Amino acid sequence: MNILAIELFKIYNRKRSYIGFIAVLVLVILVLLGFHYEGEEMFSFITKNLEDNFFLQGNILNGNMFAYLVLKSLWVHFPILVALVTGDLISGESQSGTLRLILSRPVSRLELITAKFLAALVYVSSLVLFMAVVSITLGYLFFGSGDLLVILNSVNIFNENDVLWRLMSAYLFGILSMGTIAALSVFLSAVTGNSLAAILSTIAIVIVLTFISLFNIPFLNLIKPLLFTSYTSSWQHFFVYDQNVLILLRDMFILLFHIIGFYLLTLIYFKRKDIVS
Amino acid sequence: MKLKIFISSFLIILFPLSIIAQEVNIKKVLDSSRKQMLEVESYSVEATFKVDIDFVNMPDKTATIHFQAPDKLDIKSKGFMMIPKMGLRPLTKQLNLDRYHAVYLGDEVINEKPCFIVKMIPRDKKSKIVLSTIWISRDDYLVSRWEAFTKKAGDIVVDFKYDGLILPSEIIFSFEISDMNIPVKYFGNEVEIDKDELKNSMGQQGKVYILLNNYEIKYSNIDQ
Repeated sequence: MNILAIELFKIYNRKRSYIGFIAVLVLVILVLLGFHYEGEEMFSFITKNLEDNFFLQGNILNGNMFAYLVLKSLWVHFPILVALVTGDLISGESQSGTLRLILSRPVSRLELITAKFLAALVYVSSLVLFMAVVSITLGYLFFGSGDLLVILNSVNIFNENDVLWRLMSAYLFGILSMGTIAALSVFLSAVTGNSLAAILSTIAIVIVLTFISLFNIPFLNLIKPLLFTSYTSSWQHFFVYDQNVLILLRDMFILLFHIIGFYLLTLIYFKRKDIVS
Repeated sequence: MKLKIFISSFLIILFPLSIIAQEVNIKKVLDSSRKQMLEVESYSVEATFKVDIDFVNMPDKTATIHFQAPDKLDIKSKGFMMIPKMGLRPLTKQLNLDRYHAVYLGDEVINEKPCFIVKMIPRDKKSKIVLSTIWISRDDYLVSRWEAFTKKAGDIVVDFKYDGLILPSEIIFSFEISDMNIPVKYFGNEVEIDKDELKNSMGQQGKVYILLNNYEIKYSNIDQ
């Protein structure tokens, strides 16, 4: 527990760790401005064909819609903000020479790696929850509440009182998604021993695997189920009626499996590694 | 001789049919129906909207509708709703022979009521409605069904059911999904659409059911 507290202190004591929070805040404000100035035009594209025969009553440009849009648009950029901090957790200490110092103390490699992983997950959770609080608060403050219109497989309209739990569930699932990326970056941090290499390779892997997940190419379809990026967007299942709970649970367990898998790989590698710096 | 017998037989068959056709004074039918609607100066009603459209999932919604003659409609609701424009106002314009040519086509039973079928052709070439058909009940001259072929949204059918009043207790608004251009095709990479299912649904009908309760109707006195 002491080691975890120390690792958390190290993360939150670094200026780099706040880049993610500042970036989220700035991006949310930019989306807010875009929503305010361009929102109507954006939704008229969807609704204009319906307006000939329907009165469209009610305001869909509301805080719930804003919070959903923030979630949808920032999810692409979030892995970069996560890798920026978690990719440095082991390699940063290795490069600065403090890793050998720590391991000369009565701290086992298991305890150290476990603490670093847990600290990474806590950091990711705090970043995701920060985004949730900022987007929902600013959204409700500037646009009020209202029904949520989501176009995913179909046009889904959710009552105002049926939205908040969906948003929070999506964010909680998002912690798992981003936690997987954090786990990957910690593993690469251990393997490469170089922070820049760890961060860049995490981002590169996420981008490539995400691209593979997007295309419908027959031979790639075989490997898609094996890629964790195929499941990181599963939070969207909270925004359909009749969610398939089994699929949600399956996707959650797959991501959890990847987190544990990266943790074990890191542990195995780190235990065998010769710490020379 | 044979030719004379043939012509005589033809005339014997045709003559009663022409008498039957002439018995229906379509102007009188339309005016009777229109007169009832013109009696309504204003109304307010509680409405429940149920949407039955493939690719649209929406919970039932309630609204309060206020109508003020001749055509002012005010709908108060909470939350987002798609409310059909056609059918909520009394069809006084659609039954007006100053605006439409009317052709009587025969009879048909609609919603268990025998109805006159009247084809209405707009006199104005710029009308949004290209052609419409109205089914008017023989018993009470209330409109049972209105079918309109529109320039932008294709074919729309509005069914009216009554519960003792001259205003409907239920309106069923039916349309073809493809004609409405519901834009489910235009979304980002996370959207998983079964293209075959989408294609199949595009030829299907969508419906909006409007249940109307607790009317407060103000009548005006209209001279015949």
